[in-house]
Amino acid sequence: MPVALRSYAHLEDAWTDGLEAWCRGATDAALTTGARSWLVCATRGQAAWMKARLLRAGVPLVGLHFLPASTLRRELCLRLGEPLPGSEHEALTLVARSLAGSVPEDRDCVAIQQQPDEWLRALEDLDAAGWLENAAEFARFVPRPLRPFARRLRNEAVEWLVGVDRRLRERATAAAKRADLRVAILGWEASCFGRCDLLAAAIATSSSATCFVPLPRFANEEVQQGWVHWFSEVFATTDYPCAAWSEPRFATLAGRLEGVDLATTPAEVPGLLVGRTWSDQIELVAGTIARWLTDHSTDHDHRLVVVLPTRNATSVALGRRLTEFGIRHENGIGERPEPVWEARLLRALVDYHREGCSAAAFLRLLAVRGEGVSDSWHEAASDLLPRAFDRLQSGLARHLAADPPFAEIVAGLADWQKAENLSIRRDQFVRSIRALRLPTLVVEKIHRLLDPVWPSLERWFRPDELVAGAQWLEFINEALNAIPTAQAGGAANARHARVVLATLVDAATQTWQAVILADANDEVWPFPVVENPFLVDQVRRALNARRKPGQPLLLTASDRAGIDETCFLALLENCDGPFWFAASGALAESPHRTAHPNEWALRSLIETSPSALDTWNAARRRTLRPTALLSNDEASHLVAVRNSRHDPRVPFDDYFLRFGPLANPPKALRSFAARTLETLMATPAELAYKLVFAATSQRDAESLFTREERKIIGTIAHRWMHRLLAPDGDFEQRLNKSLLHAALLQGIAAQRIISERELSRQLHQADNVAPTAWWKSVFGQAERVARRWTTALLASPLADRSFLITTERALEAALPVTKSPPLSIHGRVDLCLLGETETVVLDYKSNDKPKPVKPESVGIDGGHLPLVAYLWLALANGLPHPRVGLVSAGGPIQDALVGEADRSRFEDLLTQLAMRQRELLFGQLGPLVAGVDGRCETLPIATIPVSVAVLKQKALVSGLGASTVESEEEVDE
Amino acid sequence: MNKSSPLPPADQEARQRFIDETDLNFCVCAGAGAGKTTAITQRIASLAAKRGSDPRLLSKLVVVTYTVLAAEELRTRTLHELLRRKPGPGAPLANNGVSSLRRQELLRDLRGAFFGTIHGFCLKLIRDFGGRLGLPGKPELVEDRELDEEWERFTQSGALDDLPVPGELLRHLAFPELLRLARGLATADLDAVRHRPAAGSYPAAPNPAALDPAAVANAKSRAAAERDFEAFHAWLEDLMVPGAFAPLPALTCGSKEFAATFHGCLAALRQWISRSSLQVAADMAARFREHRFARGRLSYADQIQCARRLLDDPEILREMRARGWLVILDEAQDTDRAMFEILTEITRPLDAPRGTWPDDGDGPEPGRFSFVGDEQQSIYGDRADPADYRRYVNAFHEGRGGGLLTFDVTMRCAVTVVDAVNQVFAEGLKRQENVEFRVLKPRPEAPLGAVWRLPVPEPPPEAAKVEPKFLHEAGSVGRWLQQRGPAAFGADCWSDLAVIAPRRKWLTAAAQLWTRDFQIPVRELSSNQSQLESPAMSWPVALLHVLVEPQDRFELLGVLRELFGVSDPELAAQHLSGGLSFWPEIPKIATGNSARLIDALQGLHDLRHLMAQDGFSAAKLFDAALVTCRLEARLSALGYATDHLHLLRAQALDAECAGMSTRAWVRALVASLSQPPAEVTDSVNAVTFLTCQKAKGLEWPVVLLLGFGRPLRKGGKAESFPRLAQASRGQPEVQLHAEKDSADKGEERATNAAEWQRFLYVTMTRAKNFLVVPDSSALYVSVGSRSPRADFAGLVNWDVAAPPRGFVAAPPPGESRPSRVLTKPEPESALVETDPANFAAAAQISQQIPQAQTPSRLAHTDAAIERANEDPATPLADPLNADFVPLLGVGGKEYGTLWHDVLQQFPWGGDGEKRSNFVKSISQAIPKHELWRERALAELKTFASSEACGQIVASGALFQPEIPFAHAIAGDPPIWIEGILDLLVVRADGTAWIVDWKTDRQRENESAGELLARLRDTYAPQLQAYAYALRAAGREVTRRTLYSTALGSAIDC
Ligand code: SF4
Repeated sequence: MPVALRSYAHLEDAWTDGLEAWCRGATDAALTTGARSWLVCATRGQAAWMKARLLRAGVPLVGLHFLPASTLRRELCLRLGEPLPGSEHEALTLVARSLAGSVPEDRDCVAIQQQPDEWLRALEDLDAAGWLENAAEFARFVPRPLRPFARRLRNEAVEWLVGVDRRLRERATAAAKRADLRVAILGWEASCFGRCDLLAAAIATSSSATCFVPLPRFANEEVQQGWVHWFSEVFATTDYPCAAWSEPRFATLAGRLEGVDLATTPAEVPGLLVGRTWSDQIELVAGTIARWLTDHSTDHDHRLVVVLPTRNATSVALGRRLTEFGIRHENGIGERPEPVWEARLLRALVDYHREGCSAAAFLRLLAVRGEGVSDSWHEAASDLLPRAFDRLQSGLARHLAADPPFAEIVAGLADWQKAENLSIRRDQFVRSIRALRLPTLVVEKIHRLLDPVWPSLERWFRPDELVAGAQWLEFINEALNAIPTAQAGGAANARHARVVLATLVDAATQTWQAVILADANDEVWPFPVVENPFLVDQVRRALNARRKPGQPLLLTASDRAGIDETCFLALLENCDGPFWFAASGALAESPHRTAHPNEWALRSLIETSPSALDTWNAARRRTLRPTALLSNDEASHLVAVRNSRHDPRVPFDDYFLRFGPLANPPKALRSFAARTLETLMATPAELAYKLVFAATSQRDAESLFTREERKIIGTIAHRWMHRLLAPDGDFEQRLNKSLLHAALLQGIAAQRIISERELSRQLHQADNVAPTAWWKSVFGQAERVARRWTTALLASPLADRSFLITTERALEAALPVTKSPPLSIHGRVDLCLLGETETVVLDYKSNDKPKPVKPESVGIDGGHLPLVAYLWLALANGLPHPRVGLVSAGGPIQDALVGEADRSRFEDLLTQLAMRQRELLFGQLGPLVAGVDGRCETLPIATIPVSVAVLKQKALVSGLGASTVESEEEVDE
Repeated sequence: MNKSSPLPPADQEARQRFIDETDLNFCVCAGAGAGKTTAITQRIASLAAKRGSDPRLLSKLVVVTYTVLAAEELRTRTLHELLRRKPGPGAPLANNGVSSLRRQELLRDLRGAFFGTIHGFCLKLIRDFGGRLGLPGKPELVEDRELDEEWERFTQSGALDDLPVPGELLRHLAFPELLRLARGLATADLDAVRHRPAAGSYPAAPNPAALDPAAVANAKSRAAAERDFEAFHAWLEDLMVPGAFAPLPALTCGSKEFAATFHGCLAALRQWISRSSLQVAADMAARFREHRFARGRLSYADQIQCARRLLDDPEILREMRARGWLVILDEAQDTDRAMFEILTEITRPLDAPRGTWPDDGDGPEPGRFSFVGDEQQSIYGDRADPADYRRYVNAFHEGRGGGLLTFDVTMRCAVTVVDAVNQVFAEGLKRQENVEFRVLKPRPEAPLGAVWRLPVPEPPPEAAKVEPKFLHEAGSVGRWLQQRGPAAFGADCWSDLAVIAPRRKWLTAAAQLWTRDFQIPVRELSSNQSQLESPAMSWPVALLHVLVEPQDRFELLGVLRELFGVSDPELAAQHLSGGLSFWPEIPKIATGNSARLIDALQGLHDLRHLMAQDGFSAAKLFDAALVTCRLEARLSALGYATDHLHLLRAQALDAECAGMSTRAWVRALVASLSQPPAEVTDSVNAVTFLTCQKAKGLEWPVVLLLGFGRPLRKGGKAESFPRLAQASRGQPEVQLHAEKDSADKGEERATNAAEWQRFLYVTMTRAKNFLVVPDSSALYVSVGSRSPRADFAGLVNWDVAAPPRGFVAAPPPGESRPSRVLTKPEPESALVETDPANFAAAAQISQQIPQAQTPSRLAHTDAAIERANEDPATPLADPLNADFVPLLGVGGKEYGTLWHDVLQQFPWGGDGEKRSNFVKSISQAIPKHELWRERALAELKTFASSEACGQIVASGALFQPEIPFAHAIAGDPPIWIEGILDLLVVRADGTAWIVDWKTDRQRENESAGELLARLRDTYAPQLQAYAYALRAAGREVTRRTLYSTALGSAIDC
């Protein structure tokens, strides 16, 4: 049976000359002979449009199917008894990657492992073009380890659509002819070279076939000619062109763009909708649509299309804007809805494994879980894990979550990084989900998300075959990405609407009464062409040159660019009304830079206006959008607050972290810790948030598990000193040289062994590693610090005086202040030596290279405030003749930095601190972001920065004295 | 700029050669504003015109420049140049002469051409050729600052904890020190490090016998030597304690002899530590690289290294050369050695041995590699060394590889500006190494312009330090400008002015001063400011963060204090009484609290509530937040820009389209807060403030230089040891203590000075018409300073008393009436007013469309919903509707679809045997994993033997299962009925019988009769619609039947 090949210059001509009549014949065929009619369309949009067109003409349609390619394949499978095509492409990627990964010495395999999708795509192209039939070519493109896979893929995989198509074609050709199907094919052309078998199958199974093909155009002539040739080679065709009825409005421009010199004929000029910014573009397009609708209010069948490169910010924003205005439209591009909670939970689970089962990822997983399950797991873990981290300094979940229920969860989540076989993988998956203890319904839903994955994997992997962890995680991740989501179109979305948002391919295969080509910026589209590294253009061309009759062409990257180009030209010609280019005048990321017109817009401009770029620049327009207003009161309040915060003359006030007096302040505000005093001077704002609101920044969740080496070294050394000097409790032991010698000789080393064992035991619970290099380094440094302190004590005269020792002693006091409530403080002193007539309070410093502290600097500008506090505490607690000093790891003891006699020196300080405590006056001293001196406070994100100079002034006028740190960036020479 | 002038510029010959002689390679030395972009595009146009011998020539083009933006500009201008309608040799694509086919081919090829940065090109090479070497298949770029974060995360993850580190090494270096070394190596060439000598075994303890402090002559030094001696012994003691940390002792004594012995004692140990730590650090860095590569995350340095690995592979190098790329490199002065190497190697002859050129051997093939640069403008000293650039220039100079051309005419600057630049640089300056100053020439019709020197008055005595002096300078300039306005330059808007200074901090200070004291509108283009510092960015991000993490009280406080202006005692009172939160409930509000707090919390609550609703998304949340919190109004009330809000909105939409969850998006936003914000312009009429670095490639009618005399000294950071240093042949080495002598320092200073001179050159040549230099050269000089002056004025040997003659004193106000020479093509934006009434009308009109009806929707809706509730596997929408995409589509085929698919193939026309065979065969056809398999098989069996089946088979002449139909009912608007009829039976007499399958399940306590009745009630309208449509097509429907698969019986309706 010959196939009728009808070529058309414009889509409209095909309609008038045969297509409409063919469609009208469908109902009769169905009801009298029982024959179905299939109109195979180029795109889904075209199928819908064809149907609408016939309905509009009042034609009743029975038994007429409108089929785009994917539906065609399905229908053919049903008709010819082939299994339905599958869609789990990710499984193939995993198989390819895994097979290639097993042969690390083969360079081709290494490459495939890196880019399995690209390789599969190349293979698909080759297969569709019939090159894999040839044993030599097969061997050339498929490395040996992947050959059995490739054969199976081609012969039986339902996911391998090219194979499905081929089998359909074979079956259709072999099957007895049935007289029950009329087929018409519309608009399939060169871009369909990858689906030749599908087309052939449809034609072979039909009783009559007509094919409407666009005439080849200059933009891509070679390939389009190739298509017609191929078609004629394969099918015995009766070939005749459709009569040309229409004279498209933009024919002249299209002709010029194609290079046909029509300079004397005036060309229709496309319009420009160039916004000053991206947002302006959206407004301009929406406004233009509204105007077009009102101008064509009675042309019910006139349609306007907004053509967009893909689903992107513009398409979504535009759809929403139209919805806001109540303009019904059909969004053929759709939106991608927020991933459902179950999918996010799965993603967090996969991320947990991808991030090596870290504690931070574990917390994130629990946080996502917490959005749907209301128990306090997440809160409990966010409290527990950081504390465990403080002890163990390990970022791994299995180390930190050592207690129930978290230990079980972590165990249940297992480690997916190891190579395992598929049944263990599945088991791991099920167990992990179980470990999260979710409601049954949720569990079911989660399993359903990944259900189809397993059978398709089971087809490919032997039960004992191992899948590497990294590959597995990559696969699951991709499978999650591939979960199809509904296309929500918004409330005003409607089929058959007069305003349509569509992609270029979809729009180019229909006719329109107005077109807006949006995002017409060079930075957006047309997309650059990218070659497939496994099958570069050069190779494609070489293969094409040797192809046999009837063998399809392999399209090159530049052929594809040509196809885009033909789509654009077809769009232009299929528009019987205004055609606009819409674009942004500035780049979204850096709006002061001009954005360029894209190739299509630029060329159209060049062909129609004398100075294209100037026209473009002059077209930039700004739109006005109404904004939600603020009451005058509110606005002036905000301004007043802001101004007072930035005014150096205004002291810190109710809007600047002064809280007091508070009716019922929490304990932390009623008594300041000695160490807090230092913070109060350096980072008062940070402290205010912490003390008043018990709030600290959680902006950087990772920082919970960030090691603070210096701090941990200090803590360990303190602990050892405590155990060595006062093993039996307070004031039981006397300080003498032999005690210190013993500590140096074995005491410290013994302590280190105890600590190391302890740590090993704690980490052992989870796994069997000796202390890590990091811990070795920390213990080594702690030992050095403890030894230095001990040596310093030994070297000082204090060692001989038989002081009674107490360590880590807690003291508190309310210090009377004249004309004011007292200052309440408390503190824990590192080492307190009690003699008959004197008391020495010592603070350990683990700093290795300290400058000796000048006694006169203590207490000035907030320096060494804890020492002053210890002095006050010692005095208030009646310790005899106290003096306070430092033991540092890098020098001799300074045992008398402050003493009784200094008391009066600190009167003002005492008054000031008491005032701060009463007024709860914190203020702020550090800027928000570290300047040159590296100093800043961690403040909430929304905080508006206030300059350091202003803060200093404010501190002065608030009676807080000068700031502690002077910053002078450059020294004057 | 770059408009070709009627008179040819003086260097026209060189230009023409570059454009025309496309089969030769050229190095073009082009001064500032020389119009190299134009030249490059014209060269490409000539290439296109001559491509006869190679039809795919344009697709082989590789145009590399320094920024993505510049590359895009180049591409557009190339296209423009190619398509220019004016016929002639430069417009090969103009309509005349070239066949249409050709023209289209050229355009297609041009799309295959590469226009981008060197890094983009490396990525392309890695993607196309790297697979075979195991390089990432989908490489993406990590910015250097992201790399730091990634390193932090990596080291914290414990990934290095099990790395073997020699115990002895940990005695001398702390773990973080090793990490720091490793971080330094993270982007280094690790293979080179691997080839360093092994550390060998741990040496014996040093012997200090030779160390004798008493031998030091100078008393002061002797004391130091004694201390050093003691420390050395203390350290030796520490060394005796097994396992304790004992970092090497430091030397403080200045005596050369003592130092030599001291170092000598430690030499062996030092060498061991240095080598061993380098090894460990390299191992760490290697793990980090593996980690990055596994994720396809490549830093700039990685890209270059990967690309070089490609060059190292002879097979791949050959393949790359065979591609026949034509490289044009722009901004070549900022291209480092490795980049040059990549671009030149790939254009050399197929068999040229790697790495021989430019010193020797065959250079790039003729016509395949040209570069354009200006070493005067080389200001990215950290990346590119002018010496490398010079090597290539020299090679071309000697005629090896190509020829040398010079463009010395500037298309940008006015005559006086050119003159001033020449005076300062050609006459006033001592020669820089590797950089040769070329005298600039103005273009033939260049305006005269002016260069003004602005005296800065004596500072007040209290301004003794640098900072106040600078504020004094900025203040006096600001006042001068305020008095004159832009009119002083013949301009009518501030945006014709740019203020350029070498340091961002200076600019910020001056900008603040100008806005505050002189009300001069200012916009800062600076690259280092963090988003945290800009409320336009930090406010919306904080708001979103709080919505996503409602329990984060810290950020909530920020939002309430700043956005809403709630007072601190009020917040404290609320926190201490009822609690401060808005989700899930708003706690009881403490007495005395203002409506402000309550409103704010309520608003946040409502917004958060949105997140639980269907169809919620990142951008919708953002939009709602904007409206509910009146963010735009709040920001504008305080005078902040709001353009960032639009930018964020676009980002939200992008995130949505990428399938990112709202939470993930907000998390990413918060994480990137420390990065600089996008540059957004709000007020067009403002003076632009920018650094010299930023100014590159830009130009302004008026340029004003601030801080001419202010010292440029880099913040002298103390060097910390151990540190990485470049040893011989560029390989890294670990240095444990300072080894540099003062000669090195001097050299460094010279290098710095040279770089600053180039900065000054770039700054001065930004001016098109006016250059204004406030002469602060004497302002910062304090008495008795000895060291050479490191400031712009000092660098060019500026003499206050006798400034170069081109610099004239600025005329007093009113005296100068410059002719209007300035043009700023900033299109004053036409406002597009959109009339709300118009939109309302449009909305009305848009309703006039056919009402599409699927018959299943005619079924009573409540029943449909019930059906869905009852049987979760049955979707609400019609699965047979072509547009239907199941929400949880992966969850298996729905039962209804399965049933319909099976029945579609039912052999109606065959005999009883055929039907029972079919039933048997289908059990094989339904996959084992299909959820509904059992049910389907059972119900199919029942159906095959049912009465209904029997009747259908008996009475039909023609069977049409699953037949689509569509039909229009006229009306205004018309109704279009479309659907799929389950089974159409055409009887011999021509009448039709329609049958519909219903897979609804029997409810609890529902009898068979009740189910059938329910089905009839529900679906009768649907069948009626079918019948109506068939009648329109000319068939009378005489029977309508619903078949319940669950019951195996049917009911007519
Ligand atoms: S700096 Fe400007 S004038 Fe100079 S070459 Fe680049 S684009 Fe052309």
